[in-house]
Amino acid sequence: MSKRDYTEFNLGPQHPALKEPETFRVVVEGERIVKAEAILGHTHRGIEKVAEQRDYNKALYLAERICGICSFAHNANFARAVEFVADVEVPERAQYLRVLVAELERLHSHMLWLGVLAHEIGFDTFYFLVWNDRELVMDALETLTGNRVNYGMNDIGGVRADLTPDIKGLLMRKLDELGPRLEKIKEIALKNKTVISRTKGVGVISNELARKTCVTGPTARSSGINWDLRRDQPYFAYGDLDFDVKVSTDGDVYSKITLRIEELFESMRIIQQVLEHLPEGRIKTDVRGKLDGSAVSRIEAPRGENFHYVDFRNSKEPYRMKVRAPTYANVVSSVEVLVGHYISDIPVIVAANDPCFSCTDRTLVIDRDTERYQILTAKELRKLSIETTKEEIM
Amino acid sequence: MLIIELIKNLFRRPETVKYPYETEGLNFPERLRALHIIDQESCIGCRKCARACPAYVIEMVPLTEDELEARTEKIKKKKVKPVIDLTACIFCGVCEDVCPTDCLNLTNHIVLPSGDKEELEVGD
Repeated sequence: MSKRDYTEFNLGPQHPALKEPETFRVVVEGERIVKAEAILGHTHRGIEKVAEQRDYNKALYLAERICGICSFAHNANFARAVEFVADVEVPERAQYLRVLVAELERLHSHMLWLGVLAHEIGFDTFYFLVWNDRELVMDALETLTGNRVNYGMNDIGGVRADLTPDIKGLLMRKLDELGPRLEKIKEIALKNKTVISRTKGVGVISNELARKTCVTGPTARSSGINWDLRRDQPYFAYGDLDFDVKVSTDGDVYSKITLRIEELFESMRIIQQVLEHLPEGRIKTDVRGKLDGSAVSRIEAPRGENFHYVDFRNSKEPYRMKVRAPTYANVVSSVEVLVGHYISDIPVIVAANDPCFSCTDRTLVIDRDTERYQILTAKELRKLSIETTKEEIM
Repeated sequence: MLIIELIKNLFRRPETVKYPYETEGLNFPERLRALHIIDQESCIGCRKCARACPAYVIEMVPLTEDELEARTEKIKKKKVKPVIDLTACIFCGVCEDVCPTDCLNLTNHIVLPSGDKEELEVGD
């Protein structure tokens, strides 16, 4: 076959099917994809660098703004990392309240994802149905924390707002209303012909590929990797709560839908338990003064494993803050599975991983003299980091 | 299943509220963090809110001659007052938390759009 039969085109950075600016450079032969490559970096905002100029109380609100959907996951993860450095114990009630907001966030994030996926497969009726029901969760979050997104619920050492009996009653009512609606969503999603024909057998991430590309969260669990930080390395109050981790082995987009819907019901179960067994007591331990030391915190965000590293050197401002959002791990797998599929499957496969590119884009290497930027390979990055560390030690 | 849902929807009340022409059905929770109100008569000008603000939008502005004269016994040492720039505010509510006299509060009043930038400064 001559070279002329191949066509290369860029999908994005501005494309109606992609919700955030990112580019997929795709080589196609007719309608079929032969090669794909993801180019990230369009939404780089320099949050890690900005955090180095703010004390930990202010950087907390910056961490919240890394992502609009899993804002609590980033915020709580940063707070947890700082609490490790400060060596404080967070009150039990605050731990339970953190679980409550984290699970409400998982509910709204998974429902948002389901709506977006329905839109990508051209099933907008379902999209509106799901998003309409999602409003119940958003209202609950707004009443509890004071905002629909960027809740501002966490503080270093605890939480800022308590659960009053009035709000507890309202949350109970909302959950009672949501339960039957989720059943309905489940029935439509799993039985509808449109959903099945567009997602079953599409974008299969095999167990082997999932392990090779180090995917996390629901993407990993849908490929048969039985791993959930909530169960395997319990944080907040997850160790006291009873819930199941759902795993599927198919790895296609349809299995991701079934898995996330199952997770919705598990989240509902966790929320019920938190509301019933919320312990009494304080909701915050004060953290003051300069800190010294570094810590790593990992929590299970709705999209997967969220990683925060902070390093304090006898200061209130972090000397270094490093974030790895789940999409960064998951996007590699979606690029690999694109090969062999049709162009029309690109949005479905990319959306199936629930990508969040504003979370992901934080690293760009720019040469100051030539003003050129480059993407480093793993080998180059390793070499660079060894050199930098050596220089720092010397 | 979906067809039953579609038929039901034909007779259902629309979920969308035509805000701002209608406000019925909208609910603004008590904890909602929106427009600030500052009671300048009980503010002591301690600068705590300005120091704590994560978005650096609270500026401590010197009092005018008239304002200096109008100070009551309670705030006789006050020389500066907080002015909040709502265009860059992130509505986190930290200023409310740190205020020692409880004179700075976030209300649940969300109607903020304005064509005039000066209208979006609270406290002046």
